[in-house]
Amino acid sequence: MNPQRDSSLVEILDRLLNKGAIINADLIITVAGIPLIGLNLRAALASMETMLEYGIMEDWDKSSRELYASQETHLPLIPGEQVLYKAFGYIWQDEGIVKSWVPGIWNVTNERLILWVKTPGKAIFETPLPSLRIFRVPASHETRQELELVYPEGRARISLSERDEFEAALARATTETTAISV
Amino acid sequence: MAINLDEKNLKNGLLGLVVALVEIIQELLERQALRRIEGGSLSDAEVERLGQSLCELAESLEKIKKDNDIEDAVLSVRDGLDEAADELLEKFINPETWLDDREKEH
Repeated sequence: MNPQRDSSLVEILDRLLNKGAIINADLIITVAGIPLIGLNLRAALASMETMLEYGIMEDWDKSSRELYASQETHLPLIPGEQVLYKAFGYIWQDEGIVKSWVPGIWNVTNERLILWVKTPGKAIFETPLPSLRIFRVPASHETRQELELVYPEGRARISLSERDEFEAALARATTETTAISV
Repeated sequence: MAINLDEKNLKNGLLGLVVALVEIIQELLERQALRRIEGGSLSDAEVERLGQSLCELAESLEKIKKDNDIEDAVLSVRDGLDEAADELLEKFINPETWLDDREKEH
């Protein structure tokens, strides 16, 4: 990363927000001396911290934070299960009308491979590790790397930008699982 | 203030302008985030989440700049904007310079 440079524009805007600004404007647009359009503006712009100091938007601040907290979901794990590796990726879905790559977080645990979608909080794909096999397949997209999964119930095409790390994590997790079961 | 867009490479010039603006907003958000954290009303989980998201934003901006090779374009736009901000500030601090400017024009 580059060293932080001092930007005077950012500094000015930051100070403006910290202080807060109130705009009060009345405007009438006239043509040939006849007022046609009226504009009555009351606006306040400030950083949230300043707003709260003045007691503005307190309820909204609270409720929006609560809303996010209530929507946040966590991956349901079996007792004794641990997430060993996480990476952003996709799975190819061709059931139904729309065929598309569905994004989510690939979780490699010591038991399973799961594609987790945070909102609304569901596992799109999951399979136990021991019977899972993966193959490299040529990618259909220039910046993506694709893999084919073969598991007892069928096959799946998935895609990740860090394929090597994903494969290594899967290999580590699988050896760990077999070591425990032995 | 002049923002120089390379005619041959309008796409990069435009992208540089957009990224520069996003970068300014991102830096502003970082400062405000720090202020909110120091305010002490956020829970530990919220602080963690906020930091994580801003880090991801900064990283992806760096990646966009590197991938499209627009680091210089972004830097020149930002320098231009900073210069304009400095001039504006200078005028607000020393209103008498407005008079000088007017006299020069006449």
